[in-house]
Amino acid sequence: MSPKSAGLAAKWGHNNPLVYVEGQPAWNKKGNRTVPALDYIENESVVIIDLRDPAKVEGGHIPKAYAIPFKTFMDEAEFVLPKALGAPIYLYSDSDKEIDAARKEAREVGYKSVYGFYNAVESWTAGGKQLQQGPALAVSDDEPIPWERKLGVGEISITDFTKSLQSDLIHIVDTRTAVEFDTGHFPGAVNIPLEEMDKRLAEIPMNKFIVVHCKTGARGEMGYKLLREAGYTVKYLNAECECMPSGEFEIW
Amino acid sequence: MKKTVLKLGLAALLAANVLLVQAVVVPSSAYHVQAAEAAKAEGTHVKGKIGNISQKAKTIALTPPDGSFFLLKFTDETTVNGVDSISELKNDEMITAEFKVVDGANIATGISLVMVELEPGTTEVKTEELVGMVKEGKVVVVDSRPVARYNESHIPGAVSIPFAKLKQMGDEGAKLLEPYKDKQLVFYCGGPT
Repeated sequence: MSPKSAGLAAKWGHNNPLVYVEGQPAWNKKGNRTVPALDYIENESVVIIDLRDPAKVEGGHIPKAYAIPFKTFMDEAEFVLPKALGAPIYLYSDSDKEIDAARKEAREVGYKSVYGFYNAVESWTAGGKQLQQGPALAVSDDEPIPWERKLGVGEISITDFTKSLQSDLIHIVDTRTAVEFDTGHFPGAVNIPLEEMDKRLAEIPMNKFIVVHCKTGARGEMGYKLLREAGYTVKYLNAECECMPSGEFEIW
Repeated sequence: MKKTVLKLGLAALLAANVLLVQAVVVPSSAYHVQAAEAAKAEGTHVKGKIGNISQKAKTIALTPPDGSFFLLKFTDETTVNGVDSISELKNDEMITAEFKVVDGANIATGISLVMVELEPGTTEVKTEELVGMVKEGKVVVVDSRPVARYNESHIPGAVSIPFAKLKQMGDEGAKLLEPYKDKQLVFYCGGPT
């Protein structure tokens, strides 16, 4: 994308635009920091964690932040963070070392989108945003931070997916392999592995609402696109799930 | 009639956001037809961005430049160029593939990672140089990625001007860059794609 943008800039008379071809992954890899957009932090569904001491938190924190002192975070991260490992988590503190350590910890327990929000308080006020006084949101280890993804194109929510399992009008297609399917699957789901789907379209009814899922959402999304192209009315579950042989299941 | 029943049933059952009932129903063979046609038109050659890759299903969902959807399968015999193995390919990377159509499926015989080509009048900058430039505050860093990516995290001080937006605006896009006319511009995105 960037080489083409630079090409347009050159065409429009900008003198020798530079292209940082290696891009943001290289920037981060070499230890350089990145920052989030403040409006995004303020308005979107993100998890903000204030790692500072309670006294500092009460003096002024970013609205919506959960107060988890650094030491507690290092011990309890895996119990207090949201169940969804894809939840975007922003960590801040007045110590960059604490941010780095907490970030590493959150990644080690499986979280995929963990960001350090360096100089958070300063940039928040510099950006014209108000800090919140008093105690921040609290967490406990028996109730993880609630977080729900904003649905993207074609996605069905976990709640609606669970409801759809009870409907005859909805046809659940499990795109995992036969081996995975046999170790446990959703009640009523039909197994059509993604790799066979294009040859087995005839098995999927046109007159039903189709919901596709897999283990993590990746194969589900491909199945969704394939079926959408083929003219089906279809959604997919973009979440991780585990089905027991007993028919019990967990989605997060 | 069946369709109406379906709609009502769903409406009663699920929240409105689940309702995505398409007016036009394409025969289920459309996918095969399309795959075969694409093969004919492009001589069993496809270029696109990796939307998703599943090593388990040996399948890559590609987004060709026209924004369509193309499902490509690979096998242990598929050769690769630009990376050591298919397992190193990542989402958002641009690839080209030679494929053959077997039973309606597109089977890749060879996959190549597309390397970046610079446009005339532009120059590459490396991380170390850029770090210095950002520190000195002498450059305007432009994030070419979609706004959602910029929102999550970006190089400090960068402005968001997605490439898609520039392209869509045609020559009007020049106005977005106009404020920085006398500044050194640096464009970046999510790496070679």
